[in-house]
Amino acid sequence: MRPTTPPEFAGKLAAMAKRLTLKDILQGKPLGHPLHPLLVHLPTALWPAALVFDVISFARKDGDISLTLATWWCLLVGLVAAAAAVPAGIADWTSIHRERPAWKIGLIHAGLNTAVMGLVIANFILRCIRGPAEPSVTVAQLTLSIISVLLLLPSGYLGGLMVYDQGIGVARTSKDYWRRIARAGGARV
Amino acid sequence: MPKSLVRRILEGKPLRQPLHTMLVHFPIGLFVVSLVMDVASYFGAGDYALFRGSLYTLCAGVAMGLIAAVPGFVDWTDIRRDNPAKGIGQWHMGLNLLVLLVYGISIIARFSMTDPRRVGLPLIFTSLAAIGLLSVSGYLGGMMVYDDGIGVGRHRRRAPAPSRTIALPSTSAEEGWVPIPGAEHMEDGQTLRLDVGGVIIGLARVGTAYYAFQDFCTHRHGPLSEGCFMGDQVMCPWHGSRFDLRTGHVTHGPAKKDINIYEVRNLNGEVSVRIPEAKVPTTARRDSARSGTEEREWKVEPEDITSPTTEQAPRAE
Repeated sequence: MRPTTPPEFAGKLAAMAKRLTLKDILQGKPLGHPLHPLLVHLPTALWPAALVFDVISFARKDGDISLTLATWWCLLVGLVAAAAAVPAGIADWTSIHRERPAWKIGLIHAGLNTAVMGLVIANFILRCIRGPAEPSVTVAQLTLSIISVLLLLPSGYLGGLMVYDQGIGVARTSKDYWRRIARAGGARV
Repeated sequence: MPKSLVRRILEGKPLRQPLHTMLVHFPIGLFVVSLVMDVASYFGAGDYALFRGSLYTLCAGVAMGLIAAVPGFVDWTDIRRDNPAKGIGQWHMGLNLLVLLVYGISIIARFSMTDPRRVGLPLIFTSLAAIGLLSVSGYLGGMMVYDDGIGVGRHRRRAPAPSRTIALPSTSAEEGWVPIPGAEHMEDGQTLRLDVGGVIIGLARVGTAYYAFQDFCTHRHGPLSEGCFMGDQVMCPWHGSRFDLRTGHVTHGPAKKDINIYEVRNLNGEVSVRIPEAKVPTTARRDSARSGTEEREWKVEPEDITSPTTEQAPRAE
């Protein structure tokens, strides 16, 4: 969102608040940017990080419970953010025209993420049953971590393609700003 | 390895998306979880493991942050000088370095604690402040992508984006033809962004032909001079709208309106462009300050003509 003069900004906010729908909020309109890519930072980073902690824990087998504990917190915080990212992602996806390639990419992205969410929830439950601070990670837990990250990476890649290759969410809120620049520059808009 | 290849890899072009934005997930996520663990440790029973786990995530976050800084800086050098994102990028970089510094100090402080069982309030507030700075910085990073389209569609181009807008006074015109000094040295696939008497145009060399066109896509006004050139068509980097460079017609959506195109002539190596006066809005001069063009300089400098000699014409990928 571009900075404007305070009264103009306040006016815009007031006008926007009146018209805001749930979909607008999920798409991050009050924020000025898509909400989904912001929220996915957490699961995208934390679940691979959890795998790294798991692998170190599994390899060292020295009973460093801080590693398994770090994994537990990474899974939990990632899950909370992912739960919030799901409706935001669906809201963004519903705005994509069906004939655009991003529609299908988004569908695969959503499918992969659903599988990842399921695996991480199972992983998290397993760890809660044994207690978050176990001396070492079990083979079942490690396997779940590996599979979920193997699915998460291509899914994140597809998400990145939607933004950087297909331009989804790009200039959604700044198009008026650029239209003014374009018009001043003698362009047909 | 040739310099241009290193650059291509750091910009993430083979992956069709920037490397920086993939890597930054890690510091952001890890710093947040570290704060959560610190708070849990503060309210908990004094748990050495929790303290240690938080320290691990911090160390990993700082390491990934330092790695992410490299492609981030390369991305920044690729932004046109008069794009608002150039200034935003400076703030983004400064804040991020500050955040890494704060966390570096926090890590040293944690390692030198005598009774590492519980994180004290000073360290928690340090982390909170750092997360605050990181949020601002992350928001600025988001502005660069979602407002200014930095990195969007960049991988479809081999030639670098124009590094600045070259202001050419239309007073140098002879019968309406404005010469573009240095344009004869442009490489295949290279583009310039010009401000001719307030009219912002893109100039592209494709093969031996020159094309001049309005630099703004008619969809969401993406920069066509940073687009991909295929024969006599240009593809907008943002959403893939395509225009015929001979007629200005839309050949592929999402854009619905045609673009303005301008006449270019190449007389014995002197490339000139003609901008019909009727298309120059009266407010253009006044508003050109907003588009940030540099009024003083008008000569094309060698830096504008630097194009990768080893690289081929851009292709659609």
